[in-house]
Amino acid sequence: MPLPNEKTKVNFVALFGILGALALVLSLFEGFLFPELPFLPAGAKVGLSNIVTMFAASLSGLPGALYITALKALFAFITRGAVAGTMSLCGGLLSAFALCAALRFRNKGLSFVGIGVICAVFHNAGQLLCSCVLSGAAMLGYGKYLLLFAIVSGSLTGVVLNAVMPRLDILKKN
Amino acid sequence: MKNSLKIKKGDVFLIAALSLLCVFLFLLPLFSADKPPVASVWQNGEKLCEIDLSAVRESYEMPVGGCVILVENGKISFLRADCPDKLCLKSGALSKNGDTAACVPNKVVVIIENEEKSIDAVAE
Repeated sequence: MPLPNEKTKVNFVALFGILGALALVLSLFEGFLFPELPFLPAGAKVGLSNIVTMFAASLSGLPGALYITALKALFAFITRGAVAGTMSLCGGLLSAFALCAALRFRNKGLSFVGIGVICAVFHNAGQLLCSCVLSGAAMLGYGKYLLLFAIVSGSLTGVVLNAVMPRLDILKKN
Repeated sequence: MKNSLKIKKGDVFLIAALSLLCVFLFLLPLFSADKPPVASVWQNGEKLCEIDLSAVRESYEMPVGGCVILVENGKISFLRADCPDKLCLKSGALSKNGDTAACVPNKVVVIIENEEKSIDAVAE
């Protein structure tokens, strides 16, 4: 995104400040929202804050996605410890790159639903890889639950973005 | 009102393909479902022991790292853990092939697997 003048720069900084805060609040919020649902695989999250990552990425590409990812990982590191922070970073990084690749196909056959699913699958794959490195390849058996959950949660975040995005596209023009 | 969710063809294909893969992964363990469940306990990426759960007569507790694992007839579960998130406890009791529970902070994994390979260590 080009930054032609001071006003745009200020807008940009303010917008990304808000997006960062939003991502943190959403990830905190979903911790309260679904802590003990028995049918969810242990540790699975809906990934509400992925909505923000996807929005940031569609505004400014990879830097936007990486910024939100780094912020979330730092937040997880502070509030939930080193293991959670590392897991968040691994999942977030992989999903940020996958997301930016997938965004090229936006409106070319994929809506945010498909992009959200890709994003969620890669997020979980990154975390699975990370936990395999931390505690051994036996963790791979967990992959099918994560895949199932990623399909559901990715679709969910995608539906939200499909609904919200047209209204937010005006932000790009400012 | 047509397609109010604005889902595109590519989305449908993607979700269908991944769902198929998912179904396949879930069906895979069923082919060996009639064999007795054998739990293997891993720590730091190394297999500590294998327990034939159907041969367990009396339940007992097994401390591994910062966790305590409860071994019962036909099932195995995390009983206690000193980690902050307690995700391993949330996994509940494992009894079927492919069931997995893990405590990542303590690097302890319990998985029920049943392969044709020899089962060498069997609990009394």
